Amino acid sequence: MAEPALAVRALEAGYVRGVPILRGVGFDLAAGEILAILGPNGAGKSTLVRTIAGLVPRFAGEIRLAGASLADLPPHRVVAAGFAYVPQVANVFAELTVDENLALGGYTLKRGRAERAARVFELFPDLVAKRQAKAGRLSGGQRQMVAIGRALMVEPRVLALDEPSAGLAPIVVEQVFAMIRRVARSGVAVLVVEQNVRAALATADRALVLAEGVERLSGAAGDVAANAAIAEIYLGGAPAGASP
Amino acid sequence: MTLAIWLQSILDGLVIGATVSLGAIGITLTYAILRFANFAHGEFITWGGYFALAVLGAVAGSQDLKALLGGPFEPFSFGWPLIVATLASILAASALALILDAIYFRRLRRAKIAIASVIGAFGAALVLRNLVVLGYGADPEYFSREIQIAIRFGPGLRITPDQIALVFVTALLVVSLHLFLTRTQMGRAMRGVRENPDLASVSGIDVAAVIRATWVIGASLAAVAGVLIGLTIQLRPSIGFDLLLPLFAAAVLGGIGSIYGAVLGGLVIGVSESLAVMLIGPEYRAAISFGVLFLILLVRPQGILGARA
Amino acid sequence: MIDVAAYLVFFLCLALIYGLVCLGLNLQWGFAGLFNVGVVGFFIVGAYTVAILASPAAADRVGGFGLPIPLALLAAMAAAGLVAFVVGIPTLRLREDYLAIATFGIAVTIQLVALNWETLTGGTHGRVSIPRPLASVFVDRVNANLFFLAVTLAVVGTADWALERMVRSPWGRVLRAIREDETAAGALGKNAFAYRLQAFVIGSALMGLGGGLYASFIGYVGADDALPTLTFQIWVMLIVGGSGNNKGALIGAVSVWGLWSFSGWFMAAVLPSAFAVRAGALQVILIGLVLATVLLLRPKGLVGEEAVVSRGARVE
Ligand SMILES: Nc1ncnc2c1ncn2[C@@H]1O[C@H](COP(=O)(O)OP(=O)(O)OP(=O)(O)O)[C@@H](O)[C@H]1O
Ligand SMILES: [Mg+2]
Repeated sequence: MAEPALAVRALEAGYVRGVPILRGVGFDLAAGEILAILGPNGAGKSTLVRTIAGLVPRFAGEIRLAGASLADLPPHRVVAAGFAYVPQVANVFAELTVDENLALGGYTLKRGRAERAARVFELFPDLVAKRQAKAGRLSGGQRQMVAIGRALMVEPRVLALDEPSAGLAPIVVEQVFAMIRRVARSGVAVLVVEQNVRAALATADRALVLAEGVERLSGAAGDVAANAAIAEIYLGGAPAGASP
Repeated sequence: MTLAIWLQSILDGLVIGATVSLGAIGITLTYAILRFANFAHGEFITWGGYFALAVLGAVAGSQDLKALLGGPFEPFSFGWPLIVATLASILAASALALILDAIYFRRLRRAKIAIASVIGAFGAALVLRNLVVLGYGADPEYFSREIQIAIRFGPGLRITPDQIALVFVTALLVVSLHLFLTRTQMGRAMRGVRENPDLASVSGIDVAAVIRATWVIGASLAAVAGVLIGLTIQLRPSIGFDLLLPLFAAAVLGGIGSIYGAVLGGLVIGVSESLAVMLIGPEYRAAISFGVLFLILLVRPQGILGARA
Repeated sequence: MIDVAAYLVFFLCLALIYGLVCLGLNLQWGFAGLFNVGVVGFFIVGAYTVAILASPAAADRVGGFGLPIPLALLAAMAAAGLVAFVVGIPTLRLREDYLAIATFGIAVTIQLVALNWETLTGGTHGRVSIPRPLASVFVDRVNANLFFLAVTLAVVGTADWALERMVRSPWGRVLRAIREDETAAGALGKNAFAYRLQAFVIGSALMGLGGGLYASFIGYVGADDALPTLTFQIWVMLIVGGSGNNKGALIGAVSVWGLWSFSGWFMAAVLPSAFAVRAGALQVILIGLVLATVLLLRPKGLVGEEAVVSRGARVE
């Protein structure tokens, strides 16, 4: 196999020096592949994608995108290198219009912003009528589309989504996962953090299960789904009182 | 006759308010994007005025430059020398702001101690003001000693040509800033960073560049305000510090973070001050801003145009 | 030698008065996280209160009741506390910078009153003949200063002792919890606003007490004493000493006031008197550079925050 789209090795990262949240996480992700990152609340899933995005300090380990190191680049350079990221919360500019959100998504582009935006609207025809509306006024599903569309503006090699289905109606969740598959088929490597384990495993090619900042399970999505240990990780790893 | 006096007072207030607006825009931008109350902002006004004064002095001292730049544009009291001086002042004030940020404010932000930036700015304000005292002494300075003849219009109202120019320049700057923020990528990026710096950075926006742009815009508008004050009133090392309270009052009144709010707030402050001078005399002029500020914090802390938090 | 000792007494009186103001600011910022950028306003309210209540009657001036100094000092605390109460009500619920802006505004307004309300404040001439405590007993200048130093030490010592007890009490613990994390404090069922208002009022009352002592010590208070430079100096003292630590605040006050006095003396000695205005400017610049250096290199101050252990505090 050629160089993976994204390769992470022995990654240690955290918010405070000396207190690593991630303690040695690694995986490979090929173009067109979907990797689900699973795990109980507080496992470090968001921290993992935020570290790759350049928002959380890395203490040790490697992050390579198509062979080139992303480690310690500031977030805007990580985007320019081809890694787009949709955060878990506050993932659109609520005060800006849909058009302006997409324009900012394509901030690093020198030209061709209009064509890219047109392609995003092809992918999400519902948004066409809302181009001049403030993103904060849209429905949850539409807002998620703006967030994903904003990330796709750079035509990334790797797209990372942090809980894209959270808070959405089941039918909208279906649409979001269908869209993720479509993006992957176009050759983009997709990293998707999910609480919705069943839907994620049904969509993903492979899965990585984290708990307390370390890898607990990984492999083909089907194998992970069949592994009895997964329920135990969710129950055992969850802080008291949280429901899986 | 009395109506004319009131109208004149409102007109004078609008003229003063225009310069307050220019300063308040900078306060509100810094607050929205850098997230701290910049007590040093007034000094960009002072330094802007004195930078222009220095350039004017240099022009007046050189026969060649005087011949090249010519005399005033009638009926205004100023000509090319002041325009050149203003442009130079904008550049110098922007450079000052960028240097201060690079060696001082950026490090204070990194310390992540909320007080550091605010008190650091308060200290910087006193240092900057006293540097002007060191260079120029504490006495007032004038761009030109000539008294301008006011134009009379309407029911006995007066306005000088320079004051008309002041209002026109302010309006032009506000409209340009509006177009910049809504039509350019950098303008959109500034609005994006204001709302969510992390999301902005993962969209590919270089937040540090946006911060630099914020300083440059704030300092440039302040420098113009300083020049306009020098042109229509006089320069003293304390003009910026004395304006600080009206600037904050205007920014809070308009809704912190809102450009149009700052403009509106500046005009309201200017007119209130001017009317108060009529009613209770000039001694308590500066306290009017505090009155307005106090009232707005009491009844509508998010300001007139601000969104509810 | 006698001269040096006499000067030292005079110097320590002022330094400790500023130290007292610094303790008030430390309660507000160091323990409650409140930005007060109008310290001088509360200070000067206390100073004028003492001037008005304790000085003998004078023509064309309000007041002059000749009240005993201890009473006048209590009134100074009350007056400054009242101003803090009024300013605190609309601002303490808002984002912290609003308090900074509002306190800055009140100080500017009070400065205008000091300058313009002549029957109350004496305007630029100020108010004179403010007595010291037991002025008839300690007539000789050296003895009078020594006695005043003893009084100041007693006041500062009492304030320090009371503050230490307060910040170690459950009250102080809740205050720090609010400073660190408003939501957590709210979850404890405490009314964060009330705690902040209390800290703000008590801190400002101490500033007023400092102002009152100052007026009594100097015997004079005028509009020149209401300049924002004082706010700046007090902040530098607190930051140099390290906020959240009363001993640090006092050490900061003595050392920064020492630096200020020495630089003033030095410049007066080397510069011709025509440069007085510029020498004053240089003094402010020097202190500003001290502040910048400390903020950049040791943002927690030279002494740093003391670990405070609350007695008898339990999280319910
Ligand atoms: N900004 C932050 N500063 C300090 N610690 C943080 C921060 N954000 C998260 N943490 C800590 O990092 C750990 C991992 O959090 P993270 O958000 O990565 O978990 P997660 O797996 O995404 O959980 P969830 O499913 O709830 O989103 C948690 O212990 C959390 O408290
Ligand atoms: Mg998460």
